[in-house]
Amino acid sequence: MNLIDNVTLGLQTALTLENLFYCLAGVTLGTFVGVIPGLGALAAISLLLPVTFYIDSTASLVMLAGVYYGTVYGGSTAAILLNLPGVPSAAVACLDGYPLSMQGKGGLALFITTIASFVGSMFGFVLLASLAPTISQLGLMLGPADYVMMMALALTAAGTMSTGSRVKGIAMVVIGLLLGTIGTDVHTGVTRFAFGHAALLDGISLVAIAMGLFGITEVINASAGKGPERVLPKVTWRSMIPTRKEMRSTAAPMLRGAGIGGFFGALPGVGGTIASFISYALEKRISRHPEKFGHGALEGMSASESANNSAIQTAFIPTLTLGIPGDAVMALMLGALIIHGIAPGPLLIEQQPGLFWGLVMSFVVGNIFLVILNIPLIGIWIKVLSIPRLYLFPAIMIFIAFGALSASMNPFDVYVVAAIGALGWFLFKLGFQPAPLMLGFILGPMLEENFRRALVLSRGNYEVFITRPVSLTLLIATVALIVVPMAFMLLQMAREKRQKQSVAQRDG
Amino acid sequence: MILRQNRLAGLAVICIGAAVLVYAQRYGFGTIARIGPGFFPQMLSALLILLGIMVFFVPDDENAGGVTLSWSEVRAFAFSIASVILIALLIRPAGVIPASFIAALVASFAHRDATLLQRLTLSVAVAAIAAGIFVFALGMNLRLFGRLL
Repeated sequence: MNLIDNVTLGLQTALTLENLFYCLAGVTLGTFVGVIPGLGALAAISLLLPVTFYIDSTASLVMLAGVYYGTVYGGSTAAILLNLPGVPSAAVACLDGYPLSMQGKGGLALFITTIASFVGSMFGFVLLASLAPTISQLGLMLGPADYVMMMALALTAAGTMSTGSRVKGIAMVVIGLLLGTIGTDVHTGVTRFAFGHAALLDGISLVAIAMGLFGITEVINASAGKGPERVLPKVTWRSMIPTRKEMRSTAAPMLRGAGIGGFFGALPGVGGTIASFISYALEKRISRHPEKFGHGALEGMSASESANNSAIQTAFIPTLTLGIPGDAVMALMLGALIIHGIAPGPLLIEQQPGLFWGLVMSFVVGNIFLVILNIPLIGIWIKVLSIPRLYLFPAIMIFIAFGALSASMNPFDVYVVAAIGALGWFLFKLGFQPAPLMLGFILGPMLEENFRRALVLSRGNYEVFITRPVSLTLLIATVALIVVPMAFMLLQMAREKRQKQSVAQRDG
Repeated sequence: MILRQNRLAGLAVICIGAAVLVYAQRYGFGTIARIGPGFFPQMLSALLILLGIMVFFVPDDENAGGVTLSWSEVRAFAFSIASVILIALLIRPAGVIPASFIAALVASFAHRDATLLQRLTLSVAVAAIAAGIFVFALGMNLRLFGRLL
């Protein structure tokens, strides 16, 4: 099939009434959750996972993806109006967005970020639609050993690139991998870590882990914190429209941001947040007036928002073409596919063309919805910011419990959610991040299976991991990811020690 | 007393790793060409213990400031987890409406500042919405009121 056939098929799928509805529902819910500080894409997608049992696989993915890019649009709204990033990737939007809002230009900032988000998304979409089929063709040539190393790279990247300590990130990945071994081992039929519970024979449900880690833990943290009590600025229609000069000054930053985001989004573990920081830094460096950055410069803000959204689109490339998710959100997308009995991997596009192209085309539809939701209807989201948390968070807890119940109709799963939520909260208090655990949990069974298959095929020879060129390259990249930052850290520690010594000598 | 975060975190990780390593001894290790069910859990838990030891010796992040627990956090944690457990306990015997009413009421105590009227309004609303979404819209096989009532 050529590109035109594919796009036609995609539009036919994306424009059915059902998929349009779930797309709109997804982006609306995403914007809603994104606006609320403390709740992010992971919480929203986790809460919606049980709903996907009731709808077909394409509609599920269209909705979950809509939630994801919707939260990014919504996150920047909270960042601009309240200086609170609604989602982590919106942190950069605070830097210039909030000063603009203080100067009475909040409407303009919201307008520019929405346009930048749209431009970035469309750039990422073009990359996704044009590169994905080729990459999945290449993926077919890879053997199990290559996949093992690819997963090792993705897991290491997820552990080391997350905010906070690298060692702790990797520890969370390993805990996730171990949680993934619970249940019946497909190769030998042995039941592992079920402790006599029949409900654990199939392993812990993805829904329970996701809702416990991201739903319960996030709600506990958000309800312990204080809500925003600042007066919300009024945003009028007139204040939104940029002048021609302002529009022109943001065009190039948006495109540069889209390029940076598109590149980093496709890499495992990097994603939108890092891409938005990098593109902001780049704009600041090449700007003729860097002193304006942080005081309401439109260039930095438009570049970072564009990068962020572009990265979201290209993050789907490794997930849908190879079955390797780059971050926890993509891991949940993969989980939703697995719930529907669809095997992720290089055959996905060939075997499920309606799903793939329908999903890809729904990104265009969803982003158009989002522009409408965020420019003419911005007033609604400003009101959302003033919903009392008292009403919101208890309701979410009850929905989490019912969501867990709906997956299996077994109250045991609700206890599992409570236990995972408690574990997640303790780990959070100890400074661990939940996202790497999720990635480990999803990739664990696939990693083990490919590892075994690789060793069966090589008749127990470990050399298979270093004789295949792809596998070797990925192995080197993984080791570099661990060793290089460590070497830098040791060098810096040595330098500090020397400085201290020389200071001590001078003083002594 | 401020506990050093990474000391505690390292110990927790080591304990999890050790428990899994001991328990996983019952699963066969297998041979390299035919890996047994115990290979992965044993390797991973050994790696986890190693990582725990590393975490233990990593100096704390300066802005992390040790492990702190505020009363409002413990309160939010206890009432939130309790409400989820209540749903599991009550859903079969009491039914959807009583279970979600009670659980929402308990969850509302995660927030200190609220009047009793606000809490009751919330609980009634949550019970009605839960019945609407899960029983009527999604058609989950649950009773609105259980046999005990």
